[in-house]
Amino acid sequence: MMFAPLILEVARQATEVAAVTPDVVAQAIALALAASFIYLLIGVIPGTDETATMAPLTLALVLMGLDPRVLLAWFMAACAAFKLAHTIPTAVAALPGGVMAVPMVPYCAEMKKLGLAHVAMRKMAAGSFIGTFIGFFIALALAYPLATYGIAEVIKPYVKWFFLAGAIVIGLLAKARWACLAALVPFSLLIAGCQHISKMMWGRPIVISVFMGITVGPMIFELFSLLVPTLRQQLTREGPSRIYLAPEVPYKLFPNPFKVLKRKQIALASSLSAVTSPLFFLSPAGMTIMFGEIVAGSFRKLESPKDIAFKDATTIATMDAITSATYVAQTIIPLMAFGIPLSPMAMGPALPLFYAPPRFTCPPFSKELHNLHTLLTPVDYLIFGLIGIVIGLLVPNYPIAMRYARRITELVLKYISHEALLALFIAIVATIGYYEAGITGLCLTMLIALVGGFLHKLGVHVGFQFMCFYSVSAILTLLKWAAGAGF
Amino acid sequence: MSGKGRSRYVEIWYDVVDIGDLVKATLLCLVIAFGTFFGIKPVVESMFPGMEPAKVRVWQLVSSLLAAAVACGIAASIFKPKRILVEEAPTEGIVREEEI
Repeated sequence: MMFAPLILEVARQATEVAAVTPDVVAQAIALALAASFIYLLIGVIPGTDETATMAPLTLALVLMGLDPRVLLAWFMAACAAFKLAHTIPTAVAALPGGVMAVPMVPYCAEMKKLGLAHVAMRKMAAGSFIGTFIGFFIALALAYPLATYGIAEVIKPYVKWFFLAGAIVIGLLAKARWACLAALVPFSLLIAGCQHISKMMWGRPIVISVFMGITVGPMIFELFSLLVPTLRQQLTREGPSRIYLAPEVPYKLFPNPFKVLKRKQIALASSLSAVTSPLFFLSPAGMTIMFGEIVAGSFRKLESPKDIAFKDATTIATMDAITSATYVAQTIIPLMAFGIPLSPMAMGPALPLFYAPPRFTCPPFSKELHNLHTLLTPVDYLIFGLIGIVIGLLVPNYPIAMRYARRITELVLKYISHEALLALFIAIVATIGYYEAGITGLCLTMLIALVGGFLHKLGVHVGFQFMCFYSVSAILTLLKWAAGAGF
Repeated sequence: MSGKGRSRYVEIWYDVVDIGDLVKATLLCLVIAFGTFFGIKPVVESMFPGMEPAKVRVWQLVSSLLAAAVACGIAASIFKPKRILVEEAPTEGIVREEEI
């Protein structure tokens, strides 16, 4: 029904716009397959940051001059594949597969203790599957009228205030709500200050390093705690950890996601994906945490391990559905409707699709608007977006997560030490910090990580910290008004 | 790192690590990642003469991220996991997959 205008558009464009040739479709499929395999590998490595791994590769492809439609298929496949693959280390090692998986860790850790790591993985994979499709179609249904009837132009100037309002909403819904609100302006100013310092030294503000700093905050803070004798005692353990693996249950290669999940889980995963997809001004991490806490909190009866496991399974399936839906929707909506990066996703991993000078340019970084927004038609979004997500989900990630969940779990636990993973994470953060702003970038990342990690420990969670980052522009505007008025 | 009579094991980010191994693994990954970052620059410049410095830096980043992944593999082969895998469900309160 809602795609009737799209179908009309196909007929109209068949005559005037560069046709969808088999050549372009073949390229799109090839790149989507490449993205699928690459991000399966990257997603399985615990702790790999979405922005850090998706933005640089996408930037390289954009600058190589690939067809914009092929780029869309690449990016959608990357999103879908990453969201599926990051469930593997999250379930298996209770180590976040990416930033977005951080809030799922406590629930996965609980399931892992019950010996249900592979079940957790299947639940999340099914949630991810449902969420990706819902996010994609809702984004198209919303972006099309926004773009066609000029609504987007009216909304544009106010988006930074949406971010600020979003930060306040996310803060109020956290457990430590007053602490979040109290931290909003100071933490935003810390980020603004860091960006200013990097601008002074290197001529450009740090962006990816801010994400990285917030992401690794909790880990950096724990490492820092090792240097404090009293805190170190709390982290010390007698010996290696004991991990229980549940016996394998034979599984189909392409199980129906609606059968992997119980009815309540399907209802929550699909309805909350649909609710969160249009909210493109809220951070995916923030929404995942917020709705995750609501879902988990709705379980009152937690007497037996079964109750706890059901609560955890429902929560993570829903969270992964929300994560996947918002990732796809937050890329499509700003790209199709506005052409400028107006969502947390667009200002992070998807940034090269909006702004990759000299090829793609957009406000506020430059005057001219020339990127996927001006190059693609609504039909292109439908066709190439679908190519991307279908390949990203099905080849090979969904069957791998479903069938080989336990085997991957076992292999990772047996052969990949936690030391190696933490070391990899530290090396990635350091490299990105250095890439963005040299030694200055390294120091600033460390500063954000330390303060962010400390705040996270106090209950001002990582998702809210991301919202602080997006509120920087609004807060600076308010302070400028105040300063202008003599206050 | 570890003092006399104190346990070397600490829990960082939900799993147990040996502090000494963690420090060594981190140094290994940092050296390989940054070594690649600086080492690949002349290679890229000679392969693509006239490439903009910003683009060269993108390639430096991409290759050092890949190098970090390789370094992680090396670190994993040197420093073994500090985990004891128990191949069955814990005795109290077994939960079956179909139930949840």
